[in-house]
Amino acid sequence: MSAPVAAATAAPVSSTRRRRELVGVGLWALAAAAWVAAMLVPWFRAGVTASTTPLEVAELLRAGVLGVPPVAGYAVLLLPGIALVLLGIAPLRGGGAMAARVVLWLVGTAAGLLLVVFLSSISAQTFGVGAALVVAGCVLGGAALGLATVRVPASPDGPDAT
Amino acid sequence: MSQDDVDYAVPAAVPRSRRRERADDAPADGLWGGRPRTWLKVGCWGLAVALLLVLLLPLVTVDETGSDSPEAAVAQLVQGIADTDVVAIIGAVDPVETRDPDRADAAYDRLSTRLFRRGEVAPPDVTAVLVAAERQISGSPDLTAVATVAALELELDGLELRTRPDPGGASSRAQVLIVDGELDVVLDPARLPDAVEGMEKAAYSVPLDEGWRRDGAVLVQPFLVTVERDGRWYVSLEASADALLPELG
Repeated sequence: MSAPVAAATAAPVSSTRRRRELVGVGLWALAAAAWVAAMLVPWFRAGVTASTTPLEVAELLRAGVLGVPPVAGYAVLLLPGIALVLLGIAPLRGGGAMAARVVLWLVGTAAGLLLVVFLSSISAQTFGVGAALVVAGCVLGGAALGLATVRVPASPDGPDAT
Repeated sequence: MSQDDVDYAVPAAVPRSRRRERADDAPADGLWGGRPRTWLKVGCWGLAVALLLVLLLPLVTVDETGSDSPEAAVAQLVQGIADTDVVAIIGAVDPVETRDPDRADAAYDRLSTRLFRRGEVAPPDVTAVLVAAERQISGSPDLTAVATVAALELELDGLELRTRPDPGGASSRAQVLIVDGELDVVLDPARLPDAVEGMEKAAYSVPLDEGWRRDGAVLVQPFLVTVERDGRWYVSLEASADALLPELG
């Protein structure tokens, strides 16, 4: 079959599906940005964490204080690290990518919300920008989950078999 | 002409929602791909790496702790306390002491016996807020203290410092006298974990230049001892406690 004929007989691309995938990727990007930004601002408006950002605490740990190994400072990358992997695999299709997406989002959401709830238990009624960004990241990720594509092109030699 | 007499095909009515489902049911081969999708993947990983660098670079290039001068070190510590900024406080204290939490705790305990005046009774409204905080937090004393900090509003006014050489003549040590300054303290019960009915904010002021008293009798000029480590100045809690003991007799 000649190329023009093949192009003419190819299945039409679903513009709705493309739009949903692009919106999903955009939501993952926003979620990742929210979780990264949450490391740069204080999480509460009063209390011991009101003047301190997670990144500042991590920098202090990297400098070596309180008998904590400096490598512990990199722990601040865990939550945003999950979000960044989720952003990286956002365009991928298929059951494996979807499973990884759900597991990572659940782990990130559980870790983020547990941290916010634990810290708020001793600094109640003082939620600040950081805590709001963590929750926003969880919600955006949850919305993006619903826009992912599970199915893959029928032919393994297709233009995109991921 | 009646409706039964139409001579053209009438398309079947398909609801809008069903039409959308049909579009989604397009064959899998209809999934979009090619160069735009490749660029989308590259863009996602590129953005992810860029966001990672925002956090990673500050961690790799750690800022120096301490200060340029003895006075700046004490100012950082006092301002850090006023701002309840844990990072500023720890960053101002001698790293030799902050590396070992037990050593730092012991030094602070010794120093705190010179910081908290004996024989003085806090105003009743202040005591009421503190008691309410203790009742609400059924954890360790440390947890209670952390919770109480949430109710604190501190403001530092007119801090003035003066450096004098170490009496022992060591060039890597200096004493910093607190010449003037006041710490305004407000305890807001509304910020405690549980709301407290009928309790107002309690406020008082701590004059920083008044000097520490032992048993409410002896006045001393308040000062902190600073030490130099690798060209940076830090407050030494241990040296400050040691230096204050002979002053207090």
